[in-house]
Amino acid sequence: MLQSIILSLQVASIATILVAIVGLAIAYFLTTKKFPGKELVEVFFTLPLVLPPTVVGYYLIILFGRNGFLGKLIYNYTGWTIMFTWYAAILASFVVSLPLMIKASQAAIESVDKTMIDSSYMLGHSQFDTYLKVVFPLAKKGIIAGIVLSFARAIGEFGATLMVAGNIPGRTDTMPLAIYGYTATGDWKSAHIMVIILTLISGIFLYTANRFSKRNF
Amino acid sequence: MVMHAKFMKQFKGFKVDVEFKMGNELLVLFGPSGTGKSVTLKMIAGLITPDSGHFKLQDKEFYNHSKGVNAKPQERSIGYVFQNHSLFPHMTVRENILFGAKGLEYNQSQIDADSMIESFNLTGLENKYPHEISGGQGQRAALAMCLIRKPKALLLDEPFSALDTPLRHKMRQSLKDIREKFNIPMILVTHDSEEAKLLGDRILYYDNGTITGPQL
Repeated sequence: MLQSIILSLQVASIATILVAIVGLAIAYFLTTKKFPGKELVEVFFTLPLVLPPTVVGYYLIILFGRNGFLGKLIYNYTGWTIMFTWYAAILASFVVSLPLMIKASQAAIESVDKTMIDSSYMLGHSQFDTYLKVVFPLAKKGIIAGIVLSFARAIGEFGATLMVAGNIPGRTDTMPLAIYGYTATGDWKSAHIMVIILTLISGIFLYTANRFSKRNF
Repeated sequence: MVMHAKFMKQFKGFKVDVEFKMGNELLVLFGPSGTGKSVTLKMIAGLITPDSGHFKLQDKEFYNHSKGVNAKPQERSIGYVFQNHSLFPHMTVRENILFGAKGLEYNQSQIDADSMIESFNLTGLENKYPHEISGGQGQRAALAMCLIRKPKALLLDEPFSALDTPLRHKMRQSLKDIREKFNIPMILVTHDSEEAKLLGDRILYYDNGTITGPQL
C-alpha cells in the first residue's frame, strides 16, 4: 500500500513538473505568436481534456506502443519500450493534465494589462525578457492554479494509465489503480484507507496552494 | 530639427494623419479624447505601426514606410510614461527604477539608481511597492524609471490625470525641472488647457486625427 502512495506521488510530481514547464512554454507560444493553423493547434492541445482517458490511452499506445510510430523507433534503437513501466504512468498523467496547465496559464497571461508589456518594451526589454520578468510574475496566481489543477488531475489519473502502464502490483499500480484493484477483489478495508489517503493528499495540496496563491506580491 | 514625424494610420471609421518637427523642447499635443494624440505617441514609440509615413530622431531613421524601415520599440531608446499603470506592481520602487536601467553595467546602474532616487525625492521609499506609495510618488518613480537610461526622447501620456490638483501643480514643476536637466525632445499629451499653456514650449491642437493648430 505504501508503495502505491509513493509511486503515485512520484508519478504526479514528475508529471506536474514537466507539465508546468512544457505547458507554460506552449501558453507563451500560443499567446505571442501568430501563425496559420493556430486554432487547430489549440484544439489539438485541448483535446485530452474532453476525450475519455481511454481514448487518450489508445492514442498513446498507437504512438508509443512497441509497434507504434514512435515506440517502434525507440524499441529498434534501444530495445526498450515505455509500455507497462512507471514512465508510461508519467506519460499518461502528463498528457491528460497538460491542457489544464495550458488553459489556466494562457488565460492568466492574457489578463495581464497590455500597458505593462508595452512599458517593458519601451525600457528596452525583449519579448522573452518581458514575459519572464513582468508577465509571468503578474500572471502568477493563474499559473499556480494551473499547476495545482495539473497535479490534482495527475494524481487522480486512471483510464489512460491503465491502458499504457497496466496495473502491475509493485510497479505501475498508482493509488487510483490500487483502489480499483482492492474494490474488484473485495478488499474493502484497504480500499477505504487508500481512498481517505488520496482525498487527504489532494485536499492538503489544494489548501496549501490556495493559501500560497492568495499571498500578495 | 531633432525629431521629424509624419504618420498616416487608418482605423475603422477614423484616420490619423499628422506631421510635425521639433527640437529639444516640450511639445504639447492638446485636444479632446479620441482625436489621435495617444496613437501618435504609440507610433513614435513603435508600439503601433503606421500605414505610411516616416519617423526620424537625432538623424536616425526608425520608421520609413517606403524604405521598409521599422525599428522595434526596444531599439528606439524612447522613454514613455503611461497614463495609468506606470510602475510594475510586483517590483519595489528601486527594482522598478533598475528595470529601466537595461543595458547599463551593474555597478553603474546601482549608482545611477541611487542618484535617481535622490533627485526624484524618493529617498525612504526605495523598498516600498507601488501600492504602498501615493500617486504622485508613483509618477515620480515612473519618471525616474524612464529617464535612468537617458532616453533620446520622452513621451508623456496624460501622466498627471489621476492626481489631485495640488499634486498636479507639484508634478508640473518636476516636469519643468526634468525639461531643463534632460535636454531632449519631450511630448506631453493632455486635454487640460491650463497644463498645456503652462508647460508647453509649443502646442499642437488635435482634432479628429489631424493637427489643426500651430504646426511645424
